[in-house]
Amino acid sequence: MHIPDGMLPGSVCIAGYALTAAGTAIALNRIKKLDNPRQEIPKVSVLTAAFFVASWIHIPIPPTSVHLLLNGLLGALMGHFAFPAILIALFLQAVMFGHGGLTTLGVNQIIMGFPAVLAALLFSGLKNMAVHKKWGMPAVGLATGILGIGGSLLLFLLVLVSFIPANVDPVAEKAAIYATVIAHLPLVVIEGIFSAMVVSYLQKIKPELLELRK
Amino acid sequence: MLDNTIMQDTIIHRWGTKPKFISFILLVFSFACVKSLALLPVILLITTIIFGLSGVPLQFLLQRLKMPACFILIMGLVMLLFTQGQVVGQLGFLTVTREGAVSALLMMGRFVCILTLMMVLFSTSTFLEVLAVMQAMGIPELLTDMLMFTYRYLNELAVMFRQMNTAMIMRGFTGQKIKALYALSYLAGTIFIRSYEQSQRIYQAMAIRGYGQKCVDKPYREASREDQVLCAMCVVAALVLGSVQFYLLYPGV
Repeated sequence: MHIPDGMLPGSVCIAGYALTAAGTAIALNRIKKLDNPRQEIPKVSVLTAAFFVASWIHIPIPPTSVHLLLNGLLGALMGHFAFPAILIALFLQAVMFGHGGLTTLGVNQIIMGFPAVLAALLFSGLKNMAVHKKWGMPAVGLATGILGIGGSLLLFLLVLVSFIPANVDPVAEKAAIYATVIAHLPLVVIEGIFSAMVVSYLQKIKPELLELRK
Repeated sequence: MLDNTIMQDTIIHRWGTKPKFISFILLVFSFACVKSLALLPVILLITTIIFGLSGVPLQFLLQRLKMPACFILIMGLVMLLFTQGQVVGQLGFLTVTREGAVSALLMMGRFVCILTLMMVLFSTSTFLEVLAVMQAMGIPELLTDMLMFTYRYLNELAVMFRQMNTAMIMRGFTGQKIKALYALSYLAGTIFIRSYEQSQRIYQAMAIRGYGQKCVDKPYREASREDQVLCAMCVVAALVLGSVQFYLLYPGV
């Protein structure tokens, strides 16, 4: 779901950067209100690197395998820091591996970062109620995972449909959209289940990572 | 990692990081705005000259192009075969139109040029210099600090991940079936826990060493006359490209 350089018009890339700058400014403003924001930076940065590495895990879906986005889970664990963390991860992916792009960094950030923020809000709103129920935390994990990747998929398709050249055959365009959605549906389900399992594991082993109120 | 070819001595390597960064950013955005086929050879020529002067190995560039090129090629084929317009060729039931060919060529040309310039920028300057320039240009310090830390610990966590993966394989994990999801989720969870615990020690170590105090020295040097001339050439090229593109799109204005 990373859009590479050269695919989108320059005006769209600049608009993406403008929205990303606004989102990042809001996130950084919230972060600066913390008691000691600098103390959180190593934690957030190392967790961002951990998410970067965790997204290299290949999930077997015979006959092939897929790698997960984990933006929903990142939102759940990082809260306010999710938006800048994803920006950093996308930047490093673009410059180190050519995955995504630098001119399209703003647009990719909106595609991945906005659902992560929604997932963060959902997780922080539900976690303290869910912690007392047997399947509460896995259910919240499932919801955040699905929201993260599902939201990204929808935004990705919206961007492609809105900004690819207008004279592409509409029948072919429709078929391509349906094919993309169908191909990604198993991934949405798997990422939801994976997020639920990780949240359940963290609840047992290191609940402070989820910042659960006792 | 980045800056693999930083030890070379070419005109692009000697170019000051700040003017180089500004020039390349302006050029890539002007390339992203190119919509006319007539300008494609121009941006390819500019890119070839800069790449040639940089001394970065061609194999390095091709390696970096490999992964994203797959997606771009697929999109190029879709545009080539499914864009409506003046038919110039037929391949069975598939038709190739002039508009489709132009769209596909433009998209692939822009992609190659932008990716090449970005690769040259990050291969000919150290990552710390680039970060310092970004901070000097207004990127908040919190963000550049996060970027620096993430880059610093990425390699360590990648090694940790490989060790844990190898340990799992040695204990009989094959990861072939969907049931492997349990073990893989615990692997991810363990990576998060270990990195979280490591980060707590990192902050304490950094605080003892003065983290958070204002840094007096800039890690990049001030721009020389040569740097300014090269920067001016790139700025002029970007402005001319933008103006010509605007004229080609709106000739009556």
